Amino acid sequence: MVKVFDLGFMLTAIPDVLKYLPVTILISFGSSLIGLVVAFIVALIRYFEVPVLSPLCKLYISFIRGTPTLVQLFIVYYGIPIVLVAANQRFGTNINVSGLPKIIYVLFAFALNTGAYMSETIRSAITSVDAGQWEACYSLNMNTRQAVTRIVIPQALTVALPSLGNSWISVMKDTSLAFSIGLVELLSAARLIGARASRYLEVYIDAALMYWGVCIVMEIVLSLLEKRMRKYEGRIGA
Amino acid sequence: MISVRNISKSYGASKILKGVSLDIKPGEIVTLIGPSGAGKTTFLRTLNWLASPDEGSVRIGDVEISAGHARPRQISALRAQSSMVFQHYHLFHNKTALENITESLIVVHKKTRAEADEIGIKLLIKVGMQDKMHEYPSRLSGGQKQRVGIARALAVEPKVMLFDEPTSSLDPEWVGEVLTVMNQIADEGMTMVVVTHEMRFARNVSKRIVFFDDGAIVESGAPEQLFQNPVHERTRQFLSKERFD
Repeated sequence: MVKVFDLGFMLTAIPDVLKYLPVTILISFGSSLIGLVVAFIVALIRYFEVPVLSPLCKLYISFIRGTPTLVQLFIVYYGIPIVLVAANQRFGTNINVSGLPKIIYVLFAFALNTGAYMSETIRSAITSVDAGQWEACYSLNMNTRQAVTRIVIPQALTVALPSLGNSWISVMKDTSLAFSIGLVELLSAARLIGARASRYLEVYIDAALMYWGVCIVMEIVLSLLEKRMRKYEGRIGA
Repeated sequence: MISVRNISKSYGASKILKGVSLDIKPGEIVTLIGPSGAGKTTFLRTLNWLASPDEGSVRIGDVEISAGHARPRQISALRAQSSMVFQHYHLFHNKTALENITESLIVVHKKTRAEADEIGIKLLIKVGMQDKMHEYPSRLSGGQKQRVGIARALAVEPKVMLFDEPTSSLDPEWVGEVLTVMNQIADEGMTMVVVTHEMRFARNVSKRIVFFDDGAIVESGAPEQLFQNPVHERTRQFLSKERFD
């Protein structure tokens, strides 16, 4: 009789699936970090309403929000090689287009994706910083860069941290889309392992538990980090 | 020390300052009084270009800026002449009491942390806040915050200190300690421009009182003269409503 659910297989497959967890973590951390840099730049351009760049950033955010992540991944995956080939022809450069590892496309696509969302988070967090903080900086003759980096961003980050954490969790789950361009990460590894035994449900549950586990660990880390960053907010007196 | 010529400033359709001129001598302590919305605070804020006037010029020491021609370098030079104490303190939330003082010493004045800490601690002792130097502002009372705010403003060795209603947000019980610190600074010969509703300070400490109404200076004079024999009816009306206890 065929087993409806093979618990033994589910457990024995765990080490094999687990081997690909680092790929998922690498993509989610890597693209979140690059995305965070993008997000800061975009947020500051939008906050200071830099001419030309600010409307361009708005367009970028609108595009990312209005298109599925999978479509963005496809556009990056099929678009970048064409751009690079054209660049090679035009400028005589010699970039090995077919040699680019898939993970580069994935990192790039997810960084652009999460950068757009995080930039809105950071922009609203910067806006939430009391105008008096800026005035205090200026009255002490600090310049805008010093005010931003020393006073405003640290306070804004504290406000933004929970949302940034959510963005990271979204990216972490979206990394499963990378299997659609053939990158072997957690989900596609699970599928391959499942295919060998023709048992899919077991490995998909393995994968789900791993995504979930990483997420829980990250939530704990984030809440500790938040507590640490909010240490200056403890209230006594008025 | 300070020479302000014909300053005008509008926010949208409302004209807040209507051609104000004022000269202040070194070491002079001037209080700006008047009803809410008279333009006192805006005037004070033009002195360090936190509010940029639409017309007129401001000179402090040997730095002069005219409205419409202010370059960042000039604004910075003007701001280097003064420092400000705010009604709502505006201490940096993410810095301790000591760090609030040392921040500008390190990033603007390029002092080492050790030098900045030494100055910071000295000033915290001066305002009686040395016990709280590692506390964040959220853990300080209003009076304590304002004393740190004053120490922060003193740290940059300004030629002029600007006070924007320094006691107006304080519970009555904290007003005394802040005024004590201000009196102490006044005794040391600091040039001070103080927007205040604190008539005791105006009368007992300041050398000159300037009465603002409706975006202009109505009259100014020594405290005893202005309080006892105001020339203008509007000044008389305003003073009759203020408490002097």
